Amino acid sequence: MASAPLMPVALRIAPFVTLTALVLWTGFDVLAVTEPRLFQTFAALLVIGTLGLALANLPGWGWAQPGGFVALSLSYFGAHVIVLGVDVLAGLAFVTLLFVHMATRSAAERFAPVYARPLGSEERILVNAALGRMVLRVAFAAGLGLLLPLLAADLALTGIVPARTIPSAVLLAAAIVLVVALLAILPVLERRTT
Amino acid sequence: MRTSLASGLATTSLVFLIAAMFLLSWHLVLLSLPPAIILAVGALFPPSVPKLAAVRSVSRERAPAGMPVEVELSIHNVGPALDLLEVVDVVPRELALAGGTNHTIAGLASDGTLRLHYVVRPTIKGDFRIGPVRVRSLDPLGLGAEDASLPVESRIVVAPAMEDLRRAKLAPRRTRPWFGQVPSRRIGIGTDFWGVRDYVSGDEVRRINWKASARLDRLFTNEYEGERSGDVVIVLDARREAFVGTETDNPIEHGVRAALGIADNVLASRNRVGLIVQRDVLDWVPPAFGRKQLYRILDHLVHVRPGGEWPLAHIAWVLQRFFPQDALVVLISPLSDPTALSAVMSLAAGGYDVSIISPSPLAIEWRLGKQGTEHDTALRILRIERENLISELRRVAQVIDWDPSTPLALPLRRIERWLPPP
Repeated sequence: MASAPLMPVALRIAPFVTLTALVLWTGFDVLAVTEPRLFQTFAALLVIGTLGLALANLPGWGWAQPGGFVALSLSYFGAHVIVLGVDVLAGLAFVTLLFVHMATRSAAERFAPVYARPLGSEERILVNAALGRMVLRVAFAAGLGLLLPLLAADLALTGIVPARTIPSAVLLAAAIVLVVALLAILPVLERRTT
Repeated sequence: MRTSLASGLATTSLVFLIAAMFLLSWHLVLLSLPPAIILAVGALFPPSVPKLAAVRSVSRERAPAGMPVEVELSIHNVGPALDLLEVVDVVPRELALAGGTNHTIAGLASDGTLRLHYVVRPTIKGDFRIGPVRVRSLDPLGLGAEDASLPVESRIVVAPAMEDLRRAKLAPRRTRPWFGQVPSRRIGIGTDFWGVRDYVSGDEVRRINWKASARLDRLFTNEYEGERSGDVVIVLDARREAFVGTETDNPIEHGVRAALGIADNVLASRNRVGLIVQRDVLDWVPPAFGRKQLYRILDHLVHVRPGGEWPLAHIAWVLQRFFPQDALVVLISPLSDPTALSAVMSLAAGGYDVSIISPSPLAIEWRLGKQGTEHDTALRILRIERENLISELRRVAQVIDWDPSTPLALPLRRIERWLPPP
């Protein structure tokens, strides 16, 4: 862990680093679009998204954050789906980086004010442990989010799971919807039983 | 409670799925997986509902403004272990954090205890409550949270800083038939020589004027001016229009300081003191003697907040009904009300001795405002208006135009006695 005065700075910088990476990445991909009208559309979405996410850091502008994410994602994935073609590995990395950005932003909002104040040694150990646990869990989730779909793609391409027919795609989609729905109601069910 | 991040991930996953079905693209199906996987990891470790018991202790429940107060909060987990627990001990903004922290995030094992130690420094007087303790149990991925509020409150009463008026002499002109320290212009028990009269059987031997007796060959007795006590009623104008400036630097806060200093000084010389505060309600303390009365007055002054839009003349109603006629009325007001002149005149016409201490709102505004030519001109105009009002008031009352950045004792020292104007 960084020394005491560096922690709040590092926490505050981390979301900006990930956001810069996302914007640059999207910018490079959008530049590859040759059709002028589509280029203008995606560039406009990129600018709107970047502005929205930057403004969301100002007090009272929090509402701009979801719109910023939507615009940035539309710019990247729109360019790939319509013009450039979807590259699975890059797409998965982009989605995972989006999640890492959101998680670091949330961690910065929570932990930076705590580190900004003088902490006792015992208290510092507790806060460091909490931050470590959060970072570890985010890294674990991001790793799984990147690796499992790649594994699934590998399995599909090697023919173990024939995912390239319409019925199988529909079945797979339905299964995923079911899983998401179950995940959504799981905490509620758990709370009722306790 | 699901966070917006969880909802965002679920929506992203569904959008990719729907897009995949429309575009018949297996790539997009794969892209819908990461959000779902992250949601699944989050669902494996949902945040527990916090079951906590909190105890707070404060180093002192009564403190003067500016004195640090130590706060110790202990939170005991009587429920399941909590992965990430965010704790905020809600502190009113008037209590500035001077050390430690009232906000932390940590894991808390079952049956574990989390301690927060911090120091607050009250910036202004008031009756403040620390608490409740707000806690949020978080999933480390930030996908879910469980909130709770622990209703633990601690009260801190902050007394205003007192103006040092030890060297100022404040005494009412009219006295009451009780022994005190105010010369009464009547013969009685006192220390100031009044005159000489013929000795009467029963006079104390120590009061015989031996020089006069030897010169005139018969006995004479010294007489002294009786020292008695009187009544002072402090009227504090805390109406909304009296508020000019900041939370700490405004005529009402300075008026409270002045009122407390005057009450202390007048009570110390064995007079009775009463108080009327004109705020959103008309609040008053009937006149009484002694230290207890000072605490009673302090208790009322602690709760003074700007409010109310009563005309200043309303204090006459309370004065006539609940306070003695021969009391000295010390009005503490910035005189920003245009009806102040008529109100004071009607009080004087009603037979009251009126003295006015006016914390200057112009001085406060000048300190806070921008300095420039237009501001200079505006200040000059306002100052002329105020001086006109004060000179008119001086026909019926003694007026002290007080710049609150200077000690009140300075202008008070110039007044020997609270005599009515000629």
